[in-house]
Amino acid sequence: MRRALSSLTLRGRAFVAAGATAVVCAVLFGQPALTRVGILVVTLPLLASFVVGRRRHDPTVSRTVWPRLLRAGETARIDLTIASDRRRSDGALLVEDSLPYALGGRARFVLQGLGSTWERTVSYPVRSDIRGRYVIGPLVARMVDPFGLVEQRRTIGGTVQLTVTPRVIALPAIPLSGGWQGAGEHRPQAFAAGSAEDVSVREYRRGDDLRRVHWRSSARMGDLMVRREEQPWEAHATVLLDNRHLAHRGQGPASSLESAIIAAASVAVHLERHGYAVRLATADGGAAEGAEAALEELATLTQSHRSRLDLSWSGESARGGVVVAVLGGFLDGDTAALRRIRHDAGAAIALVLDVDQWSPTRVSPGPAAAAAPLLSMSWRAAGLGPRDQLDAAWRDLGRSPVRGGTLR
Amino acid sequence: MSRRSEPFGPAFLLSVVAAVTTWLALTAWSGFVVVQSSYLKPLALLAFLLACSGSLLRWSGTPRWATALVQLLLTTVIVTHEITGSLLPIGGAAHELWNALGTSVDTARQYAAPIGIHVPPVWPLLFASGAAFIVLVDIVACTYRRVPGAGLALLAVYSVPSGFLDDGPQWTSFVGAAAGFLVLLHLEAREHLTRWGRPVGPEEDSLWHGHPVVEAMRAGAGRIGITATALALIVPAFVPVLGVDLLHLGKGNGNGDIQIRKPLVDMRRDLERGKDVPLIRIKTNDPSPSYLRVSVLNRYTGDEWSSGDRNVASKDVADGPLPRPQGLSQDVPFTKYRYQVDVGDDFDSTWLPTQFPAASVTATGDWRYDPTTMDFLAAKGDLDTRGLSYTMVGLNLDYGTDGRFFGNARTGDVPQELLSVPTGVPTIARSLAQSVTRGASDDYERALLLQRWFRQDGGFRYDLRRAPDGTGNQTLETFLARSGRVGYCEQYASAMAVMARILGIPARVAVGFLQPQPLGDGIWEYSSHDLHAWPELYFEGTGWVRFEPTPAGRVDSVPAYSRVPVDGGSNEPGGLPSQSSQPPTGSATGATTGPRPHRRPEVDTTNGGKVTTQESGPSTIVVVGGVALLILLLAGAALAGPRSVRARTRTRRLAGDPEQIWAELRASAIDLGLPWPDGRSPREIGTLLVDRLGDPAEPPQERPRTGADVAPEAADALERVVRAVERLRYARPATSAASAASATPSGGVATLAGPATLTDDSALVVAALQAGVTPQARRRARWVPRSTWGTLTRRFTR
Repeated sequence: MRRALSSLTLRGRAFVAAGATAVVCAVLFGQPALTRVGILVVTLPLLASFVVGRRRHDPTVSRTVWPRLLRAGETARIDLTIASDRRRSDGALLVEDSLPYALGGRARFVLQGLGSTWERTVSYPVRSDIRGRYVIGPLVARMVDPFGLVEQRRTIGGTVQLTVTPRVIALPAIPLSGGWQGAGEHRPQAFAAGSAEDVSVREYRRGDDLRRVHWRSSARMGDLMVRREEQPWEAHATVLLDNRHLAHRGQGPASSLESAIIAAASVAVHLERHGYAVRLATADGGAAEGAEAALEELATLTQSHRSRLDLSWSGESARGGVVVAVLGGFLDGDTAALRRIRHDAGAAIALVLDVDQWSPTRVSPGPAAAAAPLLSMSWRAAGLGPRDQLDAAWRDLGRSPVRGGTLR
Repeated sequence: MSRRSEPFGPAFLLSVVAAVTTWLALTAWSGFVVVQSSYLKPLALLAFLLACSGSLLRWSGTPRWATALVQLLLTTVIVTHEITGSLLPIGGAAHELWNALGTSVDTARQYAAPIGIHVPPVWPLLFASGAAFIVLVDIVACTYRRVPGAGLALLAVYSVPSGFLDDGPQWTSFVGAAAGFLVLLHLEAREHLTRWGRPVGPEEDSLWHGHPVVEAMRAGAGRIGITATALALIVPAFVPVLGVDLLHLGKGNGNGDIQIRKPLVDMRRDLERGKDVPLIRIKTNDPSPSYLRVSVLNRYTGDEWSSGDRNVASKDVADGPLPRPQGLSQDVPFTKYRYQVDVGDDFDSTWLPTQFPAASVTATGDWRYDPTTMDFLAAKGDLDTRGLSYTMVGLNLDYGTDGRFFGNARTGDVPQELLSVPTGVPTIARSLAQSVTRGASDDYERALLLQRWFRQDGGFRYDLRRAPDGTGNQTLETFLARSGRVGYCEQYASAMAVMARILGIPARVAVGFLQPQPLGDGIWEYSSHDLHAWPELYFEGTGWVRFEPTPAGRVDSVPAYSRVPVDGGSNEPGGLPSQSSQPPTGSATGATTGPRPHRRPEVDTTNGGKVTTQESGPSTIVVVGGVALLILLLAGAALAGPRSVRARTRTRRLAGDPEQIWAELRASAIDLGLPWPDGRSPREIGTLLVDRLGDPAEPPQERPRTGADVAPEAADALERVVRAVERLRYARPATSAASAASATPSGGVATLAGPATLTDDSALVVAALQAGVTPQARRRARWVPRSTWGTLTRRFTR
């Protein structure tokens, strides 16, 4: 009974109160006509809550999200299939999917025309400009009476996760020296001496030069096979993101860390598209291999409370590769770490955020000044402010005066 | 403004349902008039037009206020047109409209429901107020989408007749209005659904392309609505109606005086009625019973005669002997006659028909009399004469014909009201009163001359059909003018009473029955055509004495004492040959039959059930004050009760063992609206609470800072409390006491005994928690502590 009463809406409660008052007054003052009205008004919500309260059967719901991994600013579709095998019909059912605030508007649907044993499919888009991992669901179903007097809510179905990765900005191609270990013309030589012949053939495609047919493999496979001229893993690059708490300013989506994450994601995707094996490293050490994994990692990346960069990823495995560092403000002790990275890397490139520009209280001398310490350590470096274009800064790096480790 | 995308259908449907609902509710008023179509037909037309225009306006996206304004204007135009014939209530039409409404109001006040067609029409009033309700419901329910609010308007429509009609409104109109209201509610709730979210259904584009009725039935609208309406029809039969009259509460301490206002004579309708309905049967030893008085009209306002105010004390009831009539000399010889009165079911009056003067009246029920008028009225609203049987002893006084008992009334014998002549009395009445009575030596002779003038010399005719309406000054003027002088008993009685007052004789008008028909064996019967009015004049020595100015065409004989010749003029017992060309009864009045016979005649008043009763001053104040005090006390208890309960519990618990202290902390947290997840360990809850601690020393802020660093002492205290609870719960029973004892000093903070420290600690924690929330939450915790409610509900559900 208490549960039934608690499901009354404000209107329902008002009806009960008004009706009860009317009945009491009618009895006290002897107005039978008023008794009628009072009883009608007081019984309506009670009957409605009784009728609605008897609908105990919950519908089943299944939810699919496509795609599960989403770039910020893109749209994903969520399909809901709601079904009930109840024999009685319920009239209308209001369903609302629980969405995090960042995923946009309310997903509310009125399922109507429900007979017995029904199934309905609804789909709606979600979109977020803020990276992160979001939980979608569960579904909240509201059962209402036809007069708006009663509303009962029930939670049905489970939840799914949706990962929104940071935005990625297309970068222009710039010459990156280093990282191409024995690349280019030296490759066939390596094949001739190496042992990876079997894996370095592929099926013949139209247009392949007949001189590249690998006859031995062709004989074995019964199909024309050709030698592969280049390999995707031949160059590797590391994107270092400085996510230390102390190196950044600002809060939330407007913080310098978010800009750094966008820059790192863009660089990682750009490098992978140009054939590099990309690895992501943060202040806490190596984080992810490959651009997709890096994006997923970046989607949920938070600030690190370390005061020093963890350089365990640097060393033999990274020797000779490209290192692109997305850096915030300089902290004490960074010089040594950066020198070591420069030493290990084939090419060391840095995008330095002029973090003081993100802070409302500090005054910054300008992006160029932020990049200056790195230049002195013979990195190729460019400064980046909140209003600067990332692709422009990247292009600047291509024209960077530092080359081959010599300071001009 | 572009709501044009909405389909027209739903808007039209809503408007039509609202209009029809109001119209159905207005059928509850049909008991007011005989010809219901007189107001229901134009109202139906109005409702239809309003629904059409309203739905068009709303569909086209006109702003709400503009829609409401246009609807109001349209209603005014239609009402004006229907009543006056012109379109706008400007100039003459406004005057005409106002007059028509005024006439309707007068008629409604003057006649009992149902009101027939032979009186000034009442339908303009019903039509205008019905139109107001229709447009009100349209604006509230359709334009402003507040269907429950419109329900109040419907309730008002419906409850009007329950105040005025005896059997209240018809159940059919209730069912109609209820069904309409439910449909309105459903339509509104449905529209709310479409706005709530995206409709997904077999017909995805709109709710209205499906089968709304089928949908509604699926949702249970039929089941719920029909059951509720049926219950509303059935249950009231089993609900006792107490009819407590709050204003009677003070009966014991006062004399329970009751004032009656304005009962109005509806005699003409009953006289005009074709059928002569037998009303009262008496059995008496009186050889020739005649006048039977029902009520007395004391007050002349210039518009009408009304009964004025009565002061009936609760001791003055009709349960036996009555005091001697006022002003009656002891020397007047009299004869006593017994009367056994049986009132038929058709005579519905809140006044008791009695002889005047009477020696005793014995009737069941709370019939009370005013000693100055000696008429009996029902002190309770539901008491009337239908089917009543009672006995009385009448005094048949013999004043003789020499006038020796008739002395001029002295100043102060009667209330001034009985002598007052309103300023608007026509001059012809004054001049005639003087000229007719010229030569008379005292008031008695003046009265005799007046009566003779009306019956003989004045050339008056009795004609019920050509008689003017009412008894006001204007009627009096035309009635007394030489060209007029046609009327019926009401005008004669009124004119004589007014002229007597002009001459300084206290006078009033009595209403009652004239002459019964003998049925043999001492049984007589008064019928509706015997209704009559006559003047009563006051003389020192005789008291109030009846005179009979109505000419012989209606009344053949006059009292013996008024037959005395004065000034040499002779006053024949039978009067002069009457000039009345119409016999008052029988075939002549039979021609004026109404469309259907009325259910019953009602002599006195429309407002028989509306006798307003008022307490005498002091007791009213006592009652009102008592009720107010009670409400204040209840409000105070509701406010202060939970607060004091909480305060007492807090003191008791804080002095108790750690478990009780923990319970108190939980209650405080719940009061303050802080999270307290049940089923967690004390330590977990402690870490939750630490973040909510504020500094008790700080002044209250809108958003106080919280955390362990803000209130380090409170955080430490909380830690100690948590440890104590943990020890109590989780330590082995044997060791808990010992370790508690050893732990307290190891805390190093207090050297006091354990429990006292814990009490202080917990008090500090509670204070810190209170300091850590917004002032609003703190106030809520103080006045409406949620934890008390939780305790109560848990106790009830167990």
